Amino acid sequence: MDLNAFLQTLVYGLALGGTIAVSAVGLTLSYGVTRFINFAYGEFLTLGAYATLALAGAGLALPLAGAVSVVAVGLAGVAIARLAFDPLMHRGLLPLLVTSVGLAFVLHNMVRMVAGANPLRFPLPLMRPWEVAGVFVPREQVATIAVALVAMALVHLLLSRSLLGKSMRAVADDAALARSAGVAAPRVLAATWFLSAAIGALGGILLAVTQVTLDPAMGWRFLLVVFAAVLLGGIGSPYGAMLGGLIVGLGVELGATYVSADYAYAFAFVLLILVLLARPRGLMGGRT
Amino acid sequence: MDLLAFATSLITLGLIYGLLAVGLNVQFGFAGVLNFGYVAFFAVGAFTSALATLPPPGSPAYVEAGAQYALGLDLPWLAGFALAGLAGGLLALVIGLTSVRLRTHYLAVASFAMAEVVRYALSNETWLTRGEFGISGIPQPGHGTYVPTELYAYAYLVGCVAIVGGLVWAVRQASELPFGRLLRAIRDDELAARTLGKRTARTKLQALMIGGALGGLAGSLWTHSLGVVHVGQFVPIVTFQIWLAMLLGGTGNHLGVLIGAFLLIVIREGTRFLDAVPGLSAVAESNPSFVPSLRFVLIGLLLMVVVRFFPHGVRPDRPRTAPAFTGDLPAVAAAQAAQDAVEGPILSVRAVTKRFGGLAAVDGASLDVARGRITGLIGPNGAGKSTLLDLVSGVQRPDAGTVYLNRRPIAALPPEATAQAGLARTFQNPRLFGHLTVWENLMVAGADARSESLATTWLRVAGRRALEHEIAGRAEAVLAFLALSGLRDEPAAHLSGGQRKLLDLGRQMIRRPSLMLLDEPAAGVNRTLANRIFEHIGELNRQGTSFLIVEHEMDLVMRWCDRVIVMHQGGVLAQGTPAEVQRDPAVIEAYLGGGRAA
Amino acid sequence: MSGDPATDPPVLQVEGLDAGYGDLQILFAVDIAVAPGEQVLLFGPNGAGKSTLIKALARQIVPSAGRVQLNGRATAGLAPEALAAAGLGYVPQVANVFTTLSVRENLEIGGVRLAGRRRRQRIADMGELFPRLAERLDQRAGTLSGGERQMLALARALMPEPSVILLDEPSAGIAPALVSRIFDMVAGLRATGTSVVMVEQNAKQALAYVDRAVLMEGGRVRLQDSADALLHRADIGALYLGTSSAS
Repeated sequence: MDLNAFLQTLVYGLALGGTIAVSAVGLTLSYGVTRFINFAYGEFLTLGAYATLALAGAGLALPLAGAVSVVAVGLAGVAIARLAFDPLMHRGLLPLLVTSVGLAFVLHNMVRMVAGANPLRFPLPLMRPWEVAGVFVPREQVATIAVALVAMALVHLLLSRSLLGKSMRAVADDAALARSAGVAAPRVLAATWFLSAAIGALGGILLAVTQVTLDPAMGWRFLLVVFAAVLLGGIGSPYGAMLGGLIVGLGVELGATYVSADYAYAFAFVLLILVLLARPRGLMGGRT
Repeated sequence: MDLLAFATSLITLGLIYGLLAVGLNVQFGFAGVLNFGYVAFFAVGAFTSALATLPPPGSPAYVEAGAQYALGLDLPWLAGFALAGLAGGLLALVIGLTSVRLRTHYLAVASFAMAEVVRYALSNETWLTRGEFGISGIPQPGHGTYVPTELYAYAYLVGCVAIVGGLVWAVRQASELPFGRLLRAIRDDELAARTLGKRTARTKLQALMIGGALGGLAGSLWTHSLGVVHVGQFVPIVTFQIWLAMLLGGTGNHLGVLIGAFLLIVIREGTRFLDAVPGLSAVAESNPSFVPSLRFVLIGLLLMVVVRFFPHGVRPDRPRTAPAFTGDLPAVAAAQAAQDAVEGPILSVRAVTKRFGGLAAVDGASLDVARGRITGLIGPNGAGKSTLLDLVSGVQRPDAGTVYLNRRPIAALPPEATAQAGLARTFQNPRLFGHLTVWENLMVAGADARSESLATTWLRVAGRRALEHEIAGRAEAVLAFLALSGLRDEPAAHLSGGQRKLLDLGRQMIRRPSLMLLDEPAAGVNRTLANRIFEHIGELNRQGTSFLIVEHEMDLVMRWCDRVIVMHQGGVLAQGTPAEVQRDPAVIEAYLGGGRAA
Repeated sequence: MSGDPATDPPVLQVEGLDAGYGDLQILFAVDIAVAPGEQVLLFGPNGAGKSTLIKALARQIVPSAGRVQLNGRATAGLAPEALAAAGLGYVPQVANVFTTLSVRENLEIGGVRLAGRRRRQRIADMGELFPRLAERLDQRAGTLSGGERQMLALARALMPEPSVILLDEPSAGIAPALVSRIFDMVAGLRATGTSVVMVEQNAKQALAYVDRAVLMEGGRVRLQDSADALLHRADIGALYLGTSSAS
């Protein structure tokens, strides 16, 4: 086996894995508190990438455009959840799932109406990859890995150190108990939606960087990959989602290089189905 | 003429989507399976039917058309149609075996992923499917031979009407008969159905396969009407359009769902005229994807609006009305001659233990239930009474110990098997089938596997009617016995607490079990009704049924039970006649609390 | 420290409370008053409505009729978190700690409305009250023993210094040898001034620790008296087994 090619694949795998990991954390956070899988989550990724592109086009530096987009999509996430999901919270699972699917179609087709269907790219300057011991390491991929690591560290700090993070974990653990202990659940719910959407937007920006182009269906297509990571790590567990994301990202890149490029993402889905079959109880978390 | 052609294609499409929606309705509306990958059946059916009927590569027709596919079996259209149904059914079997282990949104995600895997395979295995290019020139049955080209679309429509009409009629038939009734019961409460002796996993699988086969058949109808098949036709949004059709029409109601499909097609195809809206055409010129995207936005919005504001659809599933019964009423309890041949206690529990985490809910309990008697099971909260009933009835498996019913070991059996062995079990909170009427609850309980089989449903019409009449007779007898006749067409969810208890008892009675395990039959029921319930129990007991009853109303226990078993901290603390038990100092101590009684 | 029921206004006053689940009414016109610092035991046979009363007071279920006042303020319409803010602590029977959070984090959630300094102070207070918890502050609550969990649940409920806490069977699932320790802990709450309303199956044992007891049966209050008086009544055992309750 060619070691350089392997290391090269590893770098791409880590960048993709970091992107998936960040995205998976956002989805799993909202699941933990709301107990339903949001099929519209992928659209937060798409919105984040396109908002960044628009702001960059308006003259903002790319990092700043990204930061503003992350916050804006976070706020949009709160509004969307309040309009679309809150009224259905007491009607069981199916209405929430179907609504999130409908919402996904609405959002990514609205992006397509505005921005067109053609793939676009961020105005990134052409950069020579670094050459480290014969392995070419693209700077974009390194930046992606770095941003993903920082984002995950921030999420970790938020969840483990801040009272808001602890409240979110308490609500995810047992919402009724958390409320009777004095946690203001509606505020925690809004904060969770903000974080979920904002983290999703960041994931979308990273995705647009690692995959070079962005298009309106990028988030929708990526959704199953994110699902695979979330379920692999154990749904509702942010740290599991990070690990699951890295595993899926590396798996997809290694599979594409060494097995078949055509089926790279299909591996992720097959993995997802196998994980679901192997650990359905453990993944249920004992609560519905 | 143009309008007529448009209408024809619209109706054909509506019928095909109607078939898809009915198939999904069998899977979700009846079997309760959340399938978010339904498009896969459609796709598999379309490709199967196409490849089965195409002329083989190298044949004159192949060469003449300049075709490039790798497989063509040149079978008649009907064979392709049948194979498409088979392919859909087999794929459903795969999903069904998965669904046994998965619930709700995990199943939604898994089926969604499965459909994507199918789409990846269809798109990547280009040698077989020609990938994104697809296959054209798919034979259209009778085209140019029996039917002239200019009339073909109309003829195809007539064919679709006949085929879809026939299939929907057959499915509707199955849905209204014991098979469908059982499915709706399973959707409401699968465990309750199992404690009534139903092999629910198998019934659900059958429903899934029917739904999958219908999806495959729809794929065949669709691909031969177009003459083209390519993987781009089977994107996930198709699944959700079928969901929309089903929700629009009214989940659980096949005719409603068929109407929903037509509504969907009219709305969807109507949006093709968005181009004509002034102003939009100008935008559309600068951005060619504007109008197509707008159509998807509208479909997505419609999905959200329907779920939020019209959750029951245009034709909601309504409670069924029971047919009037004529004939003689049978006895409520069967003759017990057969089982009286076995001597000794009807139920023996030996050293049974069940732990949850570190805590033993039942800890080496041993007891006997006397044949033909009423035995009371009492004890403080947390003594392990309900858990013991779970272990005996197979709802949970003991960690250790054995249980014998009529000397036959039953400890390892699932609830449906213990139920078939003659055991009946009620729950503290009655687990009724809430969407089914009182009468239907009884009919589900009274039906046996034979009357619920698909063969009986579709083939043995006379035998089916005789069976249904026999069960209806028993249901009528139970209704009369429990004085519930006035509520026969009331959905069980509307009943009061006491009525629920009565129906739960009736649902077990109709099965004529030899031993009934009742978990607090009088809890939360007013005194008059509680007395009535116990009078019914006494009457059934006189007719030969044995009882083990968990009850905390002591005066009822004292009055009705022949023997009383007291449980405390997972074990049997005392047993004897009611008077003996009541005087036992250890029992008084257990009720008042304190440490483990010596 | 326990107050005088005759003179002090009650912390918790319940009048004519009806409650149940759906169509099923469990509680019928329940009247109870709890004085500041008082410890009250609810006891009675299975299905008497004791746990339902606790749940209705904690507004885990919504009462269908009647009034509940906490420190003179009606609790109707309050969300559970507002009720907690108004001074009511609730310890459910099972699942009463956040198993995925550490002991310290559980306590922090209990004091979620306190200022940071005050919260740290209260955690230190709880450490003094329950030294076993102080040794395990960074352990995940899911790994605690049953007795330690009850301690943590109690400590979490005490964090915001509630005026009354509701305990639903604190000894359930506890090894018999440890039950008296749990009651000692509850009795120790007298020092904090917090009133206690407790449901217990181990009624005889619990009676020795509380000030007053309320016997419930069939969803109604059958009698209430001081714990001492009830402990010495011979007919209570018979009441349990129902011989004198036939109506």
